[in-house]
Amino acid sequence: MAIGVATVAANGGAVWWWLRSDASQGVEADRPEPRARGVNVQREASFGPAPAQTLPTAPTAPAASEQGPGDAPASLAKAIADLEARGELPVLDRTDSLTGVDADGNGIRDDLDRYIDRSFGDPAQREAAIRLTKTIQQTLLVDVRDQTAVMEVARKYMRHLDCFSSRFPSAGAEGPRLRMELHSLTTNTKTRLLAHLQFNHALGGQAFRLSEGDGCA
Amino acid sequence: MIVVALSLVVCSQAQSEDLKGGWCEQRSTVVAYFNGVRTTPEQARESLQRLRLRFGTRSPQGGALGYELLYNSSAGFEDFVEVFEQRLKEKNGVLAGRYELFLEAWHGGGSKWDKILKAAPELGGLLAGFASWVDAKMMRMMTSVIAAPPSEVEQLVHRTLIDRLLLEGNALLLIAHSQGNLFANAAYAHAMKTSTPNAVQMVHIAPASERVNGQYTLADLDLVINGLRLAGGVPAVTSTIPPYALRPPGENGRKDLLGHGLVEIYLNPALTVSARIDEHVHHALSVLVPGRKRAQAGSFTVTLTWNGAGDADLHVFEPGGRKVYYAAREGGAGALDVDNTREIGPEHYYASCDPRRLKLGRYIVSVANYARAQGRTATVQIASLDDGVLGTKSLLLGPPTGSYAMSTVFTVDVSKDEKTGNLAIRLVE
Repeated sequence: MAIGVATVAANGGAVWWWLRSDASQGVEADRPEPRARGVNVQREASFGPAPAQTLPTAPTAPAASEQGPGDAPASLAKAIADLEARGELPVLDRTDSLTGVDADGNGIRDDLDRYIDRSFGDPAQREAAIRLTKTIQQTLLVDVRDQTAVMEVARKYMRHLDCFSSRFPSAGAEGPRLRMELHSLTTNTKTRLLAHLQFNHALGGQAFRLSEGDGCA
Repeated sequence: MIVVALSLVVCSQAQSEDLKGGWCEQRSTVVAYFNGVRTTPEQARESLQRLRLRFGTRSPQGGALGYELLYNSSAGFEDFVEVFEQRLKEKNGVLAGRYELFLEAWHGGGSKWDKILKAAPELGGLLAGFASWVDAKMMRMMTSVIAAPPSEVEQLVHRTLIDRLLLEGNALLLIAHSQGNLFANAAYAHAMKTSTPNAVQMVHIAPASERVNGQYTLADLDLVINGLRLAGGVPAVTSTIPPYALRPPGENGRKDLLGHGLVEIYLNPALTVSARIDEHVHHALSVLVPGRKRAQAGSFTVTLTWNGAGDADLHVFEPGGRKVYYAAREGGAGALDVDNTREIGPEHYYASCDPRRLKLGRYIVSVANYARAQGRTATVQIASLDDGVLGTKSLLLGPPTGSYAMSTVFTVDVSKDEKTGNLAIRLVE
């Protein structure tokens, strides 16, 4: 006796598999490999301390001598380099992995740790920023074919978004701006960005209750 | 007289159940927000937070006002990234690989771009070119959504949520922005199968649909919706907003060239158009009357529906093995308080809010085709009081099995944090 089961997935798409009946109340799933949706992003298995490695910094433009006709002048590359040198643009981890270098194993890339320390003086705001950033990094790792896992991370993510907003003056622009900054810096490579957008897309068709309190509990 | 007395007894039982739990207050009205096109979950969540700030946590009738995000995503995000990557390669790739600039560029700019353009104005074309492409792409996306409205499968989670909220006696206010109106219209039509406009109201904002089911607002300089007139038809303009250059700076700046953003335009307190929306929402909340309560809210609930005639059954095995189903509706930890033997459903199980009754452990949720439901698609949704929808699954029903459950659809784990005393309710594989 078998019946088909479908998990309601992103955009209402359904991932179907088949269940084998069992004499007991439980039934073991006999699942073929689920179909992947969207782009295929290689995901890491879990968080954990990353091995020590040299942190790649921002990409560098070719030297002026390497530029061809119509290329940007060297002054343009210098202007960008100067912004980084002055700390106006962040120097970010651009390693290949989704989670980057996390030497202290706290679930947040080390460069993001530094950014949070530098940017959030208020302890309550810093605490909310740490929670949110950690969860954004988790969105990069979740298997979007597993709707239970997606929803588990998504609920936590929504609570931490609520918590973060609650730590800033209501209806002000500062909270949303800093929230977007945390997202931007966490998704700073193509692989990371695609993984996060893939997670976001997997939330299509779902429903999320707004936290009754501030979401920080 | 006898009828009145019975009603009082039922009310008293329901209230005492809530009070005993302490953490299980039932809401009377739920605001369900359907987001617009090109809206990330983060933005949609912030919009929902804004709605709560604006309209509060108590309905005009004094009941609790809850908020739900009924999210829809826009397809084709890979295209945005690919085009952005190409743009970053311009100007000899001076910005190549800097994907941290993507989200700001997607929204037309931001603080990092401001710094870059101040130091290197020559890169302005790169941002402007991408922003123009994004706007054009958004118009194409909206047109395609109008041409192919959301399917039943795409609305499954939303529909089942609405079924449960109505079953538990909530009134609903559906607020929709942009393409969210297509999803909200479908949700409204679904709700009307079992409810009335007294209990379900709609407020449309920048509707991407000619059809409206309540009061609506559309700004004259909303270039997205007004640009859709030829493609699919949209309602008449109701409000004027200042031209882009004259829009008041401040909270939302002048980032929304298209005049379409929910926060930037329609909820912007500096624009008069927002007062109209306030009025619509306050009016809708004031006329809502919760429907008849046919099911009890719980620490968690299970809702079963199916798509046609027949008798499908919900079976819940509580910790300790006690089976709660149509023939044994009262369980040790909860009860099957709605049973349906004819068609569609719903069936509903609630786990008690009373900590003395609720059992810790695993609850196995199963479904059976009791009779005449072979080939029907059944949908099961688990929701917790604190977190809302935990999961939704659909399954194709096989041959009748009478009183025997044929499959495990969900396993719900209820545990208690010994330090905080808080309950954790989650789905496990």
